[in-house]
Amino acid sequence: MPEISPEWTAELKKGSVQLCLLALLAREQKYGFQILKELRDLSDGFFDLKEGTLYPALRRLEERGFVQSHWVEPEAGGIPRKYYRITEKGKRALAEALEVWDRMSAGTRRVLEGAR
Amino acid sequence: MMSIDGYLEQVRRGMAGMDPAVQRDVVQELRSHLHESVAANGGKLNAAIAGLGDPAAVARRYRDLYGYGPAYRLLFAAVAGVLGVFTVPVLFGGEEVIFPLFLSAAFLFVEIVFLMWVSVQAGNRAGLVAGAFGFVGRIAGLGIGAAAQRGASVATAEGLGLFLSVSLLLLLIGWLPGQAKRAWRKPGAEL
Repeated sequence: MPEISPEWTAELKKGSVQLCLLALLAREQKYGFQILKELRDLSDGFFDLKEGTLYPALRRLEERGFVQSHWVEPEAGGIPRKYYRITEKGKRALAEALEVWDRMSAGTRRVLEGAR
Repeated sequence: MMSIDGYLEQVRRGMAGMDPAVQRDVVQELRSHLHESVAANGGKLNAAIAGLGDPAAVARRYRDLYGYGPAYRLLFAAVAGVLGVFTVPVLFGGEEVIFPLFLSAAFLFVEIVFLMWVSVQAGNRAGLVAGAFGFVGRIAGLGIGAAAQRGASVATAEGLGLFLSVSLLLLLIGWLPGQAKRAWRKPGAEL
């Protein structure tokens, strides 16, 4: 039985997943399934986001004006995909959030160093 | 075993009342995901559907985000307007005072409960619009009452004051519960 509550871990994830989603879209547009997979693989399974959570989360970012979406018909036929790409507003938000994140992680690292 | 169509139909049902264009777009995106997911996991449809989770819960997240569509908000406003007409005592006027007053009070009670429900369920703006329709409904009710009594004095100055206060109260009742819900909701960890 672990000492720490699962809620604590869940809150940490919740607080950082939007930043990760924006970061994944920073370079190129992507579709939901691709984002899900990259998030899972790059985070080594830490962000094992429920699929039913990811899609509404992307739309929440869209409602905030941080990303835009559009449908793309695949060239080889098959089912269309909805692609998301970051907006200028989203890029500014990402830069601001990254700054906060960097300060937090550098600060925490220094503080935690003494406990290892 | 559930089919993709069966699952998506349940999600769609959970989104009833939302903007139909948004509903279609959501369903199309989830369908695209399910096809992608099945193709990636070696054809296991059940696993793909389980990955998305309970359709009602998925639908609720979209509903939280988008709320009711314009058609339903208009419907709510229309109902509030019609209810508003019947909240006016003079409509039931004549010599009978006690019963008509009671009837209009009952409508007023229903109107208030309805406005609070709209405000909480569809948001404070939809509630305010419904409250405004209720307000207009009451003015219309007063007009109908006055016309029916052919210029007879419809209300005393005191009565008109009460009438206006209650009418304005409807706006507040439409707006306040939704606003309170927004203010008291635990702030999420949103960027």
